[in-house]
Formats: sequence, C-alpha cells, structure tokens
Amino acid sequence: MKKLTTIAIGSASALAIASFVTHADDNTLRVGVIGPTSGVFSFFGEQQRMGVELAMEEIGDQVAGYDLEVTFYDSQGDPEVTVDRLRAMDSRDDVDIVVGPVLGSTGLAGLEWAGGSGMPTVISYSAPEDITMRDRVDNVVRAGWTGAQPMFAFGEYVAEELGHEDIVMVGQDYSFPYDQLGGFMRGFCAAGGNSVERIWHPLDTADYSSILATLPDGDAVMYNGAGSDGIAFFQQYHDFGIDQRMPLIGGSNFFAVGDLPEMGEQAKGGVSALQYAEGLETDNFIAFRDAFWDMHGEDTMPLAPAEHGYVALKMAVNAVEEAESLDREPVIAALRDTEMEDAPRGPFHLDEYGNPVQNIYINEVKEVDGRLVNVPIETYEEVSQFGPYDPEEYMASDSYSRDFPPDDCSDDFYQQ
Amino acid sequence: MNLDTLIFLGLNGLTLAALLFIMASGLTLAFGLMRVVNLAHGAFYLLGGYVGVQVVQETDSLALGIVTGGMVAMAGGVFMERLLLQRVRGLDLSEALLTIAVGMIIADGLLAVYGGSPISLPLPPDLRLPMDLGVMMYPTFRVYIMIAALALGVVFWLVMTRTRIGAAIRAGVDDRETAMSQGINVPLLFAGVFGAASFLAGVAGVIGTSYMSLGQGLDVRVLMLSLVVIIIGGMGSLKGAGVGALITGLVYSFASGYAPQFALFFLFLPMTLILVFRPQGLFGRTT
Repeated sequence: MKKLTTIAIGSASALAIASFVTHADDNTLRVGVIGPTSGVFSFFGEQQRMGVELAMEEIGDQVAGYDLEVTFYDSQGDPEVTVDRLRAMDSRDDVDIVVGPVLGSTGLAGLEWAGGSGMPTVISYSAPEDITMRDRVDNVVRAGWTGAQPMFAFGEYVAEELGHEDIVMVGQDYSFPYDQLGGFMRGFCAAGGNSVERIWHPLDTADYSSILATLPDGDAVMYNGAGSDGIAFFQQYHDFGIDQRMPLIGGSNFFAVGDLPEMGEQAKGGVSALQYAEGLETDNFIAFRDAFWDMHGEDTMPLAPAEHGYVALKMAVNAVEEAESLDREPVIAALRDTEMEDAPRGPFHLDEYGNPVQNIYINEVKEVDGRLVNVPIETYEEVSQFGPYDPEEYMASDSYSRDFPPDDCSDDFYQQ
Repeated sequence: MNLDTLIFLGLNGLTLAALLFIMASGLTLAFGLMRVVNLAHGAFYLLGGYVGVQVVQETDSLALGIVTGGMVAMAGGVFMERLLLQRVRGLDLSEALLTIAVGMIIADGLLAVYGGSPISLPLPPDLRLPMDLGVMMYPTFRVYIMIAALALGVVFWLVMTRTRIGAAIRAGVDDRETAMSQGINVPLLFAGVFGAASFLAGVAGVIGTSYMSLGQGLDVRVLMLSLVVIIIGGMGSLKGAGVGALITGLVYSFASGYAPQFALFFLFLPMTLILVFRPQGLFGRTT
C-alpha cells in the first residue's frame, strides 16, 4: 500500500514537473497584473485595471513574436494576499513579468518577495521611496513615483510663488505622509520658507473640530493625507470658516484621487502637486484620455493609478521587444533602460535606481466642462526621486519620520 | 489657551457627545433588557448612513433621508432580532458572535453595493452657515445635532418615567424573571427596544455624515466609541449613557485639541480607570 502511494505521488510530481517544463517552453509572454480590485481600496485597483486594459488594446496580442497573455490578480489591498498571489504567479501560472502592486504596504511586500524570486517587476502606483532607494533590487523598477518626489517642487512653489513662509501641516500619522512632508520641507526650506508646524493625527480620525479649534496661525494650512480623513478634514475646515483665515493646500493625493466630487465647489482653487494631472492638454494626454473614455465611458476620469498601470504594461512589453527574449536577465536590463517619450503624463526615463525622472505638475482644481479637475499651472521638468540632491548623500540620511526632517528651516540639516 | 478656544473645544465635545448619546442610548437599553451586546450596532450606523445619504442625494430632502436611514436600519435590527438572535437566546457567546457576523455581512454588503470610496452628505447650505450662540459662531447643523440629542434625552426620560411601556422596560431591566412572572412580555418588549435602538443608529449614521465622512471601517470605530460610552456610564443605564457620552465627547475633544497624537490614549484612559475602580460603571448596578 505504502509503495503504491509512493508511486502515485512520484508519478504525479513527475507529471507536474513535465507539464511545468512544457508550459515554460511555449511561446507566450505572460504578464500578471496585481492590484486591489476588491475591498476598501478597490478604487485604485480598478483604475489600474482600466489603464492596463487600454494598453492591452493598443498593443494587440503579439509582442516580439510572443502571444501576449495578461492576467489580473486581486491583492485585496492586503500585503499577505499580495505575496500569495505573487507566489502563485511565479510557481503555478508561469508569469514572466509582474505589473503592480498599487498600494504602499503591498508594494513593500511585493518588493521583498521580488527580491527573493528574481521576477522582473514593474511597480505601478505604490510610492514608498525605499523600493527604489535603500532597499532596491535589480529586478524591480517603478512606473510611478516616490512619496517625496512631487513635493520637492511643491515646497519650492509654495515658498517662491505663493510666498508662504510659515505652514501649518495637519497629516495622517504614517509613513506615506512622512515621505510627502520630507520632500516638501527640503524644497520649501531651500526656497526661503521659514517653518512648518506639524500636527499628526491617528489614521481614521473622523472628527477634526478640535484640531481646528487649536490650529496655530500660519500663512497656509497643508492637509497631508487623503481618503475619508481628507474629506472629513476638508468639510470641517470649511464648516468652521478657517478657509477665510488661511488658504488650504494639499498633499499629492488630497485633491487628486477621486475625492473631488465629494468635496464639491469649495475645492476650486485648491493647489497640490503630482507627476500627473487629469487636466493636461498635451496631445499625448488627450489621445490617452479619449481612448480611455471610449473604452470605459466618460464618467470615469483616468487618474494617476490608471496611467501608471497603462505605462507599466507598456514598459514590460517594450522591454521584451528590446530583449527579444523572455529570459529574465535581458528583460530586466531592458526594463532598467526604459525611456518613454510619449507617456500620457509627459516624457520620462528611469534613473539608475529604477524610478522615473519626470515632470512634476503643480495643479490647481478648476472646473472644466462641468467637472472638477486638476489643471497644471506650473511644470517642473526632469525631477528625480532625489530632487536636486545627490543620490548617495540623500540615501545616507535617515528615512523620513514623524519628526524628521526638522520643522525649522534654520536647522543645520538644511544648510548643507 | 484662551476662553474662546475653551468654548470652541467644549462645543465640539458636546457635538460628539450628542452623536454618541444617540448611538449609545439604544445600545445600553437593549443590553439592560436582555444582556445582549449588539456588536452589529456600528454596522447599522453604516447602513443607515449609506442609504440615508443616497436618499438625500436623490430627493434633496434631508428629513426624508434621516427617516429612511433610520427605518432601513430598524428593519435590519428587527430582522436580526426576530429571525436570528431569538434562536440563540441565552447563549452569551453565540449571541455575541452572531451580532459580529451580522455586522460583518452588512458592512461587506455595503462595500459591494456602494464601493470603498468615502462619501459625504450634501447638506442644505443654510445648515452649514454659522449660527450666533452669543459666545461664538458655530455651524448651525452642529447646534441642531446637540438639540436633537437633548430632545431625545427628554423623550427617553418621559417615556421611561411616565408611560406603562417605560415602567415595563424599567421592570425588565431591574429583574427580568419577576417582570415576566407579572405578565410583562419581555421578549416582545426587547424586540421593540432593539428596533428603536437600530433606528437611532441609522439616524446617527445620516446626521453624523454631515461632518464626518462615511466609509468602510467607520462602523467599527463608531461601535467602539459607543461601547466606551456605555462601559463608562454603566451598561443598561440611560443616565449612564448620557454622562458617559459627555465624558467621552469632551475628553476626546480636548485631547485632540491639545495632543492629537495621543487622542486615542486619552479616549480610553477614563474607560480603563472606570474598569479598574468601578467595573460596573458610574451608574451601573452590580448583578
């Protein structure tokens, strides 16, 4: 009996291996796309899916002689599920290139897994800076951004163009807003800003009235967060008429990610910064937007996660065309050399650490054709994840945290 | 720290206390009658909120939205009590698990129907304008929330002290067996109280969305706050729910005004102290 079992198991595994080998030998380029298409963060995952679908239509089903096969995986916005799906892509589904993940925490989980597996990975919207900095690995590049990247320019703009010297920041107490503020402080202080007073509140704070009651005076208030916290803050900020006293500016996601309809008319004039703007009027962008609308309907505005998904799939496909092979080594080399002249957001190329060097737009919320959109009012070209700083020096300093960098611009940290 | 700020913080605390009282009063009564902690109470807040906001968006009638939100939540509550809770009556663990399960099902159902993006309530502009309270200007709708809670407290007090139903509820809370032996139909009474409690949770969901955005996860936070309130006040006591809501609202308001990073710490501090030194709560009775 035992012998029989052994034989059964043995032949089963032999069959499995045989099928795996034939599977790997075939002539198909398999791309696995991972993002939260269900759950609380499904907005982001759905945007990515729609962007990827548009790219698929444009690419067709042949890439450098390979059949293109794209499969979507649901991360549910959960790091553990993400890693499960990634493992399945690698060992079960024989995926050649991964696109995604989308969220910060899932991006870090994906990075850790990718580092061990060697899978060529194009991370889309996920923004923790160490993915392409201190913890970078060869086989992971990014189509999107780092949390600090748009904020160097924003800090500069706020100090120079808006003339604000003292900012009061209210922000969600976790790593992404730390990164955003870190970039902001560097740009702001270098451009003549004076200080940023920071007020961190726990995630999912629903009631801001008392934070607003004790809000210190400044030239402007920056809300460093988004989502339901952002909407509640925005609403209460106006309820108490603080907008009459100090203008409200936002971190990158505050006005950008789908919350504008909930904010309504009062959001007009709100300023923030991102590597993307749905109010861009370049030919490349309009072509992208119109094609997106043809495919998914005009009710859905393509936002940054959609464009990043679209671009990420194109990066993957271009790399295979360049390498003329599915072998990991040449594909990874080609990925790292990515240059996109015609990306909807504007031209970009990857720096040697694998993150886009791209335009940063200062956006203002305006009403265009009856809907609220972020319209670029200033463009900073060729901004890398290190801003104007030397990469090695930048990475030698601490990661951004609750109280780093210092909140006073006269601190030695800013005098280097 | 000046007087204006203190008044501002005080009013903020009272607004939150008002909302919490609307949530916690029903929860505490239902507990007093049947010893059931309804852990789906937060989900009824969410249910009422989503449905109510949708009704307001489509009909532009705030009152209709509030009533519909409350009614839908009440239907959910009565349905859960009659069809599910009754079957596990008396089994503490099963009851608690059942309410948790129903809460999760409701929240996930809402996620499927309304999506994960947060929403806010389109209030008539008049209500957003500040009202002159003599001491300071304060948004009108927040004043109305406080008045509503006060009115609710008065109604509760009248019902409990002046009507037969109130007397029956008090008897049921005090001593269930004796009350039943006197011919009071406590299970039916409980169904009524449970329905009313769910109605209030749904109403709170709509009016709370006037300033807090509504989204997934809020159900748990609101439930948690309500539990803090009734633990402080004493489970089963209406007066306790009122005092507990005041303490919780004011502590939270002042803590988030002066030490926002530690707001949650200060929020749970009074509850912890109460649990250590007076486990039955301020107005609760030891059983």
